[in-house]
Amino acid sequence: MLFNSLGFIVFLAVVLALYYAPLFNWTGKKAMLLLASYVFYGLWNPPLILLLWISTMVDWTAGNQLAKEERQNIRKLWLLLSMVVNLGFLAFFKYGDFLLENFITAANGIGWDFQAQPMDIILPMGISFYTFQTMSYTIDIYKKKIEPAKTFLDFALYVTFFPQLVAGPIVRAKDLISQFYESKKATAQQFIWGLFLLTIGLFQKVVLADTLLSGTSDKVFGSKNILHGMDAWSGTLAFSGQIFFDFAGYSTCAIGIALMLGIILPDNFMFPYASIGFRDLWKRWHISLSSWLRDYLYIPLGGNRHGITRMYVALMLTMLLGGLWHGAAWTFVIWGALHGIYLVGERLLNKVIPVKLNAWNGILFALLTYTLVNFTWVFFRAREFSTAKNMITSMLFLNDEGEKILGSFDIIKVFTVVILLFICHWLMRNTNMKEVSKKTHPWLLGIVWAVMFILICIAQGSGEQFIYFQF
Amino acid sequence: MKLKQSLLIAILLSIISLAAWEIHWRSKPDYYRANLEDDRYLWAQHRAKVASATENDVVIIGSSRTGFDFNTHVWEEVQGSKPINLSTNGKPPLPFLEDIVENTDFNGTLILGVTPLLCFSPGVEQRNLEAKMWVDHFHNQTYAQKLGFWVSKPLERNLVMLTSSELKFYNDLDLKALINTISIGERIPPAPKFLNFGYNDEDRNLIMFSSMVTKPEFAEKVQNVWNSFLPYIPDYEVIKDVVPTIIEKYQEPAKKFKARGGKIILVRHKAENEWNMHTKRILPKNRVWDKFVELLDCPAYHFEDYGFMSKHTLPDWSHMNAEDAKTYTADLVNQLIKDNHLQKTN
Repeated sequence: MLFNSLGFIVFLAVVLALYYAPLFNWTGKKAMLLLASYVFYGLWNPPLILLLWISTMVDWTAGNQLAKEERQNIRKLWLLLSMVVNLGFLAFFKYGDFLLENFITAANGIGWDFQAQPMDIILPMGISFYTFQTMSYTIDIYKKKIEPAKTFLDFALYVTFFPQLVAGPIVRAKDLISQFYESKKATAQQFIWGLFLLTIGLFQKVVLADTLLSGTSDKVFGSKNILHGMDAWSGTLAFSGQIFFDFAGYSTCAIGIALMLGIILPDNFMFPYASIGFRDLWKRWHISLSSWLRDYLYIPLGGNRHGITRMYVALMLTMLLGGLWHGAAWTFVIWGALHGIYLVGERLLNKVIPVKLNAWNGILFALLTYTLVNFTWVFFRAREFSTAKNMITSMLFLNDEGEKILGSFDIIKVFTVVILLFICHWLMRNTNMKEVSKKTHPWLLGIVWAVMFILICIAQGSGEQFIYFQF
Repeated sequence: MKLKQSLLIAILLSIISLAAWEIHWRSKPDYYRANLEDDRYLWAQHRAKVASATENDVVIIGSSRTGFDFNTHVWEEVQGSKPINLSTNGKPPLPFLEDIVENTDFNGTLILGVTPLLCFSPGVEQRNLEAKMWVDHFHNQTYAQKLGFWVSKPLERNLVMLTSSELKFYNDLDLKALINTISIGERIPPAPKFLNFGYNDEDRNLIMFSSMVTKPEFAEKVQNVWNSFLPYIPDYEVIKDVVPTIIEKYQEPAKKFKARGGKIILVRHKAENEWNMHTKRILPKNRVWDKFVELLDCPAYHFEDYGFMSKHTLPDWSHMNAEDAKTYTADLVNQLIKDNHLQKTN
């Protein structure tokens, strides 16, 4: 089910009514939320709820056994079981065809004439998100950082909680399960703020991403021709804005909806396009994934504890796998590799040229970071390397005769939205929406809220899927 | 934070603004009216009926001319049963023919409306892909999408401001369409600004706005849209190597459908003035239509061969107004009955 659909509005209204009606005790409310979450997921493809159930059962059992078991080798086996099941699902459903395709290429490359039909496996919505979430639970118990959930209901709801089930934020057990232990009810302020966040999230998705930017990005990246530099830049900038508004919009909706239920989810984006450098970027972009990769991949790979070379290797590996997490294609690996190179390069440069930041050079570095990020988005969005290559050469203005496919207004529209986005991120870099809202006159906040809501209604939207659902 | 105050202001402003927006568009009944959008969801609802259709039933496929020129209510009055209307505005019928042949057991009568430029001219592959998306939607639609469609029905039926189309008409009322009316400079050649000039009922009959007849300037605007691209489509001589391949794609599914007892009737609706002139130039009847009929070996009705098919004047040179569509439908159904291609069921 999509947040930007009328069906979801009805679903949410029913859930809220049941949640706040004096019908259930807290356990009953949690059971209702769990059932609602299965309905939320099942309305997309009912049989795939089975995967959620298997993942839930396996990690619930593994978690309990890990908490009880003292023998280290047995504990390792329980952890291994959880990893095999979760990563096995991910490997089969998400990477099955990709692995087969590459196996065929490799086999043919060594002279073995092997052919096979693609398996055409359905990608279960949000599998990468809930898999990482349940794995973090088991790993944290294995490392004795947390206790198992008190009840199966609490754990099942942690895995399935509908606001963040299919596209995050990826929430750690310690942050979410503990909230389920005591009765939760949003205060009036929390409820209204949640509604405001839901409006902002939908505005980002429906108006900014789908209405203003997606058309340009689709047109440019769908072109088979070599494009004029201005068109290539417009398409890439449009995509950079689209993916931010799409994904941050989803996260904002998720946080808002949870807050309307009295549940607090962590921030997932902190105005990332005003990042100064790539370390800063990854503290601001998809925070729940980057912190997951840091804690469960980068640090176990050695982190910065075993010298500089190993740290760089760990960093590169983390970013490569982070790229692959986004999709089963080599273009995503290149996207991850570029970010890895940027991170390593930044650390090396920092040692050679120490820079003292101030407001003036800060914005220039932020602009440089954003420009470099845009080159990575080309690989993220392009479905083929040939498209990416053409786009990059056009963006470097190496294709003098590139085709013009965008009208002047399209270009102006994209640049206006993206410049405003950048300025907004820069101004908000050291604050947050709540702080700004507190300082805003209630009338002005109300007008802004109304404008967003009216534009959402007029935009109508055609229930475009969120980009990150495919990951 | 005085959030309650902000919320109240937001609610009040939203209600006032949206009401004003709705009233504004309601004041233009010549161009806009509230109706359930003829989108892939409504199409899928009708496509589902084919599963229970019998050999006595009729299914109509084709594009906008078929949608505007036929009226299934009149068809029902004349023949006795209402055909299932699966015609699709702006899309060629091949993917729908293939879908019915491959994914159903239907063996009744299939009326295939042909608009040559849409069906047989180069570039049809892209149009076929767009049509295939509707077929895929029918087969893959989720319960969430069905719920969304069900919830949206009362809103679409009652609010003019929700006028919008998957065909992205220039005069749609969604924000994207409104923004796209802004144009600055001429960096690239302008794309045709296709206009919506009708609405649909819930049986998916397309009904031309009466203002297309009463206000010649509206019809002229639509004619100008056709003129903005028709003259630039190359002559038959340029595309003659491609066209036969496109036509032949209909042969296999038609053969399969007939082999299981189904009957296909081909209908070439009227076009006039520039539409007809350019169609003749690009896809001449003797090189394309005649070849198509021969290949499919089906009963065929071409507007030039029957007086009742060519007697009406088309406001935009391509589609019939609502009143003429009623007469045209009755005449054609009577002719089909007379020729023993259909039986009366009432």
